[in-house]
Amino acid sequence: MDKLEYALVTLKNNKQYFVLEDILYQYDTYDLILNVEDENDVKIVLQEVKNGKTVFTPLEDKDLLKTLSPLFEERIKIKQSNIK
Amino acid sequence: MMKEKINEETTEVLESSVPEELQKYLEADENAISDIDGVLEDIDNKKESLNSEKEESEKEFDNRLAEFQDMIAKEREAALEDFARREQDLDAEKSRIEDIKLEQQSKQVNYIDSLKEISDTYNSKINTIEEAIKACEDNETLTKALEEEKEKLLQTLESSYNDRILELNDALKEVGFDSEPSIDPDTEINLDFRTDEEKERDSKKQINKSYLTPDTEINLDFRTEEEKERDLLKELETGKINLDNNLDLLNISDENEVVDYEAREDVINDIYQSKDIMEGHVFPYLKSIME
Repeated sequence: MDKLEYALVTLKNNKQYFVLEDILYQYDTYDLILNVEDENDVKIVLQEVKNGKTVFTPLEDKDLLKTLSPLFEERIKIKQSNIK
Repeated sequence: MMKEKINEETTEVLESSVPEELQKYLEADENAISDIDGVLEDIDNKKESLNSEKEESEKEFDNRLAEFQDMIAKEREAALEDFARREQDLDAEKSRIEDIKLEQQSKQVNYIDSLKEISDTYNSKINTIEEAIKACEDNETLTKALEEEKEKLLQTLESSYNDRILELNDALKEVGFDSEPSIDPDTEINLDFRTDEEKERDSKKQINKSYLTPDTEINLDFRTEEEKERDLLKELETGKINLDNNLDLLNISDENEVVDYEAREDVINDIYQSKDIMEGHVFPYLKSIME
């Protein structure tokens, strides 16, 4: 599968998300995703490959989320300044 | 050059054609020309200052570009290192699992030999008893002995099979199958003592796992889960089996599986510029995590 960053993805449960950013952290890829129909549904997920299928696994590890959050924030700000 | 020439000629004309006592009437002209020179000098100064500013700005852009290139180069280097590490990990894991597979394949050969040996031993006994029965006609004691030998063969093969299943399940756990053993040790072994007629009758209903005669094909499934899955996918592709009944086996029933994607950087750029979404939802989410 190609890189999902800046893509519109459709999940098996029919929900659609925009992948706002993806980050490679300690061998794993994490995505910041935004629900197309619900702006309140923003989350960081782990992008995994299971049996050849790409799956977005919700993150529950608070320490990991705390680590990833500023990294995403920084990336977003860089992207925003590049757009301007 | 042209201007200078005009100025010189003008001065010469003025000096030569204006009498000295009238020079005072030219004072206003001289003052005006002097003022204009002042303005020209001012412009030259500003131009010089602009050039300095331009040079400084160019230097700053060069520095920023160098810094940016340096940052990207470092980021690239770190990413490549990560990929190299991940590749090494995968190679090591692959090598470990290949060793396990080789070990099991080697044990499989021994196991088959052992099964054949058990089968041969018992077949030899059974043949002897059957010959004895024929010789003594319907001897009840010999018939019973034959049944007992057959039963022993069954038990011995079953015990050997169960040992092998435990060994295979250990190997599967070792390669990462942590869940329930994929092969059930209690699986019934269908040793086949049926007549040819019975075999023919049942052939469409049952898989033959008989080890009794040398011609019988050994049909135990020694495949790893990965191999089973690959075979299953092949069967799905060729339409031999129904997908719906095998979703759990394939473990692809994850609701969060990505089934489709489409590059939409254009829309995402708009989102990035939307204060409502970014300031109202995205940043607050990220901040809430950090708290």
